[in-house]
Amino acid sequence: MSQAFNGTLAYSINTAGAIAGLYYDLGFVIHGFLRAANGAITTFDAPGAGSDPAQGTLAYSINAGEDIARYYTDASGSNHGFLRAAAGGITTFDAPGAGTGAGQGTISRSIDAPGVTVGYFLDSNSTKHGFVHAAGGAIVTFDAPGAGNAALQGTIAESINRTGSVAGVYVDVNNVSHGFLLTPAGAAIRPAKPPGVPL
Amino acid sequence: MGSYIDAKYVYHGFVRVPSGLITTFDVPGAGTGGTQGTYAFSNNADGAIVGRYLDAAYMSHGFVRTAGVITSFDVPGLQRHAGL
Repeated sequence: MSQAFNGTLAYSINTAGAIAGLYYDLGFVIHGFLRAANGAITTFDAPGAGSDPAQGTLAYSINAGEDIARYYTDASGSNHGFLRAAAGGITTFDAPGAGTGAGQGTISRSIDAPGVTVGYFLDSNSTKHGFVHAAGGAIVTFDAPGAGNAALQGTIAESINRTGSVAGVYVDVNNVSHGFLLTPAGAAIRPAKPPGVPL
Repeated sequence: MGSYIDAKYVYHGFVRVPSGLITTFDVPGAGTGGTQGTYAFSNNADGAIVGRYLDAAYMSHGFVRTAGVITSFDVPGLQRHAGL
């Protein structure tokens, strides 16, 4: 029963009342917005964002400092992470090993107060791997133990809290989903595997 | 907080406080057709909730619900356009 639509979607709100979200324009191209606590709306596009329907800038997550994160889809349909600082500057990034085909690439999911983003990337086989993108730009990739390595299986990091713990889900070789918690110690993780490397 | 889908596939928002009390809400102007209605996406530490609602023409609008008061908004420049 899904419907195509356009318009405004508000996805997250910080403690000051600033809201991050996205909107579909009349051509169904996606753009990000910031709505300040006083109601003023600023729109933005990540550099390199595509301009065809269902392409563009997907802004979902805002932290206390009004940094906004998520990802954008380029003209070829590949995804890339971005971080928009409160001052308006936008930094883009790709997780090491991210695929470049349509639907592949880097997808940020959330940002914490210090500006650390977490998410996942789809490699050239469309297998998913988690990543943590430090505020300084360093990216650590990982796979949850037991995650499958077929297309659309693997690890998705969903959110990070103020202590640096990461929650997410992984899909195993039988396509069953499970939750995981990655603590700052990281003892339970392993580096993300390149495509074709067995479990 | 979150959303629930009724027997007619209409979406409604809800908030559950620590005591277990659940309050439901609909954004004024939300449609009542299938997949229309109120989608609550996230909240902050003060309990303000944001999301979107689909009106009767499947146009999406943003909203923020603060202390029970709902404010809807649209990015300027968007014209009303029915969904496909």
